[in-house]
Amino acid sequence: MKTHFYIIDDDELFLKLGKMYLEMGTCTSSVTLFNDATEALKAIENREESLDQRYVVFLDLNMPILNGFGFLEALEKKPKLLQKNIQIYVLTSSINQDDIERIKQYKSVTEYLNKPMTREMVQHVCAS
Amino acid sequence: MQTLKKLFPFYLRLDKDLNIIEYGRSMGKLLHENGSFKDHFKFIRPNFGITYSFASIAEFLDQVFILELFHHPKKVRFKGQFIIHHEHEDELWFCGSPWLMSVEDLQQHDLFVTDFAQHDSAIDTLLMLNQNLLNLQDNSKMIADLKQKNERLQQVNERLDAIVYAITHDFRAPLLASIGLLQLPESMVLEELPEILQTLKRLDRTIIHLNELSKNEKIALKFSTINWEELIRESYHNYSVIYGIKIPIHLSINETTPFHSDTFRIRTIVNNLISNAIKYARPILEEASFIKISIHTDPSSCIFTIEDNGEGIDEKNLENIFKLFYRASIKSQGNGIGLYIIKEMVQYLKGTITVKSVKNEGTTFTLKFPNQKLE
Repeated sequence: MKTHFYIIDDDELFLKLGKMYLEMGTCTSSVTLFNDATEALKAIENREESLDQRYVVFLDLNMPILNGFGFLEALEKKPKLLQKNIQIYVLTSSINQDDIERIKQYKSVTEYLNKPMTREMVQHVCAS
Repeated sequence: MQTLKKLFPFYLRLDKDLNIIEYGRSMGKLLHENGSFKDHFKFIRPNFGITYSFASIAEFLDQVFILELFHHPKKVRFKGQFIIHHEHEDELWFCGSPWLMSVEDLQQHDLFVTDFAQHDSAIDTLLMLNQNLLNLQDNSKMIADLKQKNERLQQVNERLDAIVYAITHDFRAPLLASIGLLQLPESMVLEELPEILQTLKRLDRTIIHLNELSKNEKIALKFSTINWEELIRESYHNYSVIYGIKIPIHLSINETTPFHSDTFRIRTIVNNLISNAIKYARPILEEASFIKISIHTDPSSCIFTIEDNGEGIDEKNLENIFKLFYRASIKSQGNGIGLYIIKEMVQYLKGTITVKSVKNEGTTFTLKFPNQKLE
């Protein structure tokens, strides 16, 4: 299925890197970058609803202004945004067990992944 | 021999069969008869591998003993050591004193401070405790000191936690980005080399910052005359090169008296402030960007002001900017350490720092340092 990717990360380099890898992906239809999670939240609210489009979000945790946890809180407060065709992957450099445990409490999160993005990761996400 | 007896008024003298043949003046207040050592005392420490024989005790000559006078209604304990005196090689001498926990113990055993040898550290402690009991002020001061130390320890602990978190996050991020870039298809990697270099430099800056932070705690203050002009020019030049931007700088120094302070800390503070002013300039302003630094010194203090028309800080973030690892901006160069270092160093120099900022208009930091006397 054609997939629209959103990457949310305050680090410009990870945005750029993510875009490079995702553009090599077989399922990629578009890649949109956000260095501010509040902007990403707006984009998700306003996205086009259609059954043959899939949305995948790569979310960093440690960010100024609105961090990954804050983003997930805000998202889960609006259940209508969380339909089947949207998947959230946490993509972080944190190997902190507390962060990993905390993420498990968010039902909206599909998987917890560790940076950096790789070709295998893109293939894995495309296939699931 | 007489010296030994004087030093240990609670001494015991035992013969080959462990009979008590003599005891000290003060011991006499607790032990009222001679007889077998075994009938009066038991070993509390050491309590393993020791028997009531001359040979067995002799094996433990270099160890601390705790003995209990078990017939005594209060079961007094003694702490000390057995020795074999060269003039009496067939005798064991116990040299020690009652093992007391409080002043009350002393009273319970009908002992007085004069029963102890003057060198006895146990009695020093007791005397000190006693004095503090009498002197409420001292006591509350001790408690306040302890509280303060405890708070300090907690702070250090929290900072350690934060640093460990930073190492696993802020330090890993640039490394992971470099790993990611290096794993790109070969043709793309070459193009990304400058980016990788930048990223690794960023990591290095973070490490330098952390090092400055730990140095602040370790390096003693060393006062000398601060050459403001040179210090600022040098710092401005360095950071203009690092960031590849040249922001016009206006420098006004009004020095009525030379300013004396700690060069290492003043330089670190100035470096961090100038680095921020350059880093957070608004590119849209181009030539209209500015950094204004003004310095005013007098015999008692120095006021340092740095003003920019950069991106500014949101009012709601302003109270947090001096916190460790706090980042108020989405600019990724920031590591959240710089302003924290500034605050810590300003405090160390017994100075003050205030900030005024308007989002998208600019920021002004005003610092005041005491003018130190040169020795």
